Amino acid sequence: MNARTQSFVLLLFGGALVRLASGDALLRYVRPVARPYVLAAGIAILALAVWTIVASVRGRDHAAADGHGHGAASRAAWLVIAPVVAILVIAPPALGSYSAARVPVTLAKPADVSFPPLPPGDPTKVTVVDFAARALWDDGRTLAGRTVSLTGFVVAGRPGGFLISRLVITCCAADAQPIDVGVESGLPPPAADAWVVVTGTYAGVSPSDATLPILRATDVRVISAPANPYD
Amino acid sequence: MIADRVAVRRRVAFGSTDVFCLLLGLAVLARLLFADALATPAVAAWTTVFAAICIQASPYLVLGVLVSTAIAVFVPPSFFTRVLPERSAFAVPVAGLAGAALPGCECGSVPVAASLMRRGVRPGPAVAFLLSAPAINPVVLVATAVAFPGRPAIVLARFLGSLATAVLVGWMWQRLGRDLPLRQRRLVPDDAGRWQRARVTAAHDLAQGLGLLVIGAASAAFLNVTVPRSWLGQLAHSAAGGVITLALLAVVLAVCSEADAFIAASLTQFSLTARLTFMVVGPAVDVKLIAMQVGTFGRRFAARFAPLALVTAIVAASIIGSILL
Repeated sequence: MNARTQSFVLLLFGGALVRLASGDALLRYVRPVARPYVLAAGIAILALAVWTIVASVRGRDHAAADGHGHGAASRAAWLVIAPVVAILVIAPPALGSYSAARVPVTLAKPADVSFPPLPPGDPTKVTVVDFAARALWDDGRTLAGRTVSLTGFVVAGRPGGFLISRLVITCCAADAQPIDVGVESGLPPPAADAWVVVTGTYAGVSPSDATLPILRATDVRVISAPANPYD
Repeated sequence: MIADRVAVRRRVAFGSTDVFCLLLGLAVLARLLFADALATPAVAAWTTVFAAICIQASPYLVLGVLVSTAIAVFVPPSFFTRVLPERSAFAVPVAGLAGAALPGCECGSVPVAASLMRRGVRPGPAVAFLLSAPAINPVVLVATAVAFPGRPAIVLARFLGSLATAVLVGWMWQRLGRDLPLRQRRLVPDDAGRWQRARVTAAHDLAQGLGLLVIGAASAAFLNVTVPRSWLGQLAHSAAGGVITLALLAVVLAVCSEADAFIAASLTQFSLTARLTFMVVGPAVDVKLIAMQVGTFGRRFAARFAPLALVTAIVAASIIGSILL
């Protein structure tokens, strides 16, 4: 690969990062806090690529630009096209039920298990993670007598209802870990990967799995996927 | 005559820019033709995890390349001979502790370590830096403290385990790695200006580093999506089995050193020592690091270095874990 092609590859990759960092698609891959860093990296790569292209058009870099003597080094640069294709051409969806069903649920004990009361309102919005933590580490004390609504995606049907999940990521989608809630409803389960808002009351943990809190649902509403699919 | 033939071949053959355009065209075509195959859950999950690792790692790689370019172009070689002690026995721990100053993950420290070696830093101290920088920097230690609330012993154990691994491997590498000189390279003519040298070095290292990262991200994503995690539960029961299992899981999952503490915290079926091993091994050896080391230092380097670092990290983590945890 010669220096000019190398800069085209970098130009594409930097462009893909800047494009991602200026929209919601970024949140399929990494946490929102990564946005400024991805943007800065994209701009730095773009700047370097443009600088190299300008210099090569002006006829500098003769000794280095003929592609000799780099060996394996410049061959590896071809591979940078792969993530560009993945991001811009394939644009895969956020991780969903396939990943949630593969990775076992493990909810680590939070530092502080003295949960404050839920905010007022009926129903009140609670995240799947918060709901599960209050159910499992505080015996559901703060959930008793309250109507809550949870947003998650459907993993699969289960007897008497279905399983919803939310994937928690720490850095990027590679470390996604699911938190599940069993939903009891008399209705047929929505399709796998459908995003739903379920409203209902806490109904203890599953008799067959002490790590699965159950929500007895009075209302199940299918919604479009949220901008940030992860917690 | 020969010159003529070369000139003719040049005119007929594809240039790399043509190949580049061809590849992009093929990619778009493949997207249209194989839309169904790309949408199967396993393939889609692989693509997402693969892209996520590349995106997440790229800011660290950019930072690493900026630092390594600065070392290669703007810091005189005499600087390192002045700050590092003369004898390797002392230089290795000093370099290991210096790793705490580079707040990045493991992808960034590979080009920095290569740059240090080209600037005349001996292999022992350079690999001590390579191993310690992603493992004991403040960002990673704070993340560990957050992941294991109320357990400061784990943060201390992680710091000591990783530092011990870096220093021990550094000392051993002084003997094992001395016959593996890093190939010198000439990217720019000697009369080139500083900024031209910086630009060419940075562009080359960035393209190479990203390419190598892609190999690692692709294999890590493959294992991430295919290795069933339910195997883990059965291996958690015995102490030694747990340590070995989580050490291998760290190699296979290749998560960033800033994220691994949260994964470790969630692996509650394993002993604390096993989870410490996961955090000590991860920044030292994993599939994406091995790919980057093969490409940067050569195959013979990686074939010796990765097993040495893996075994040392497991032993160091087991001993420190059994004392402190």
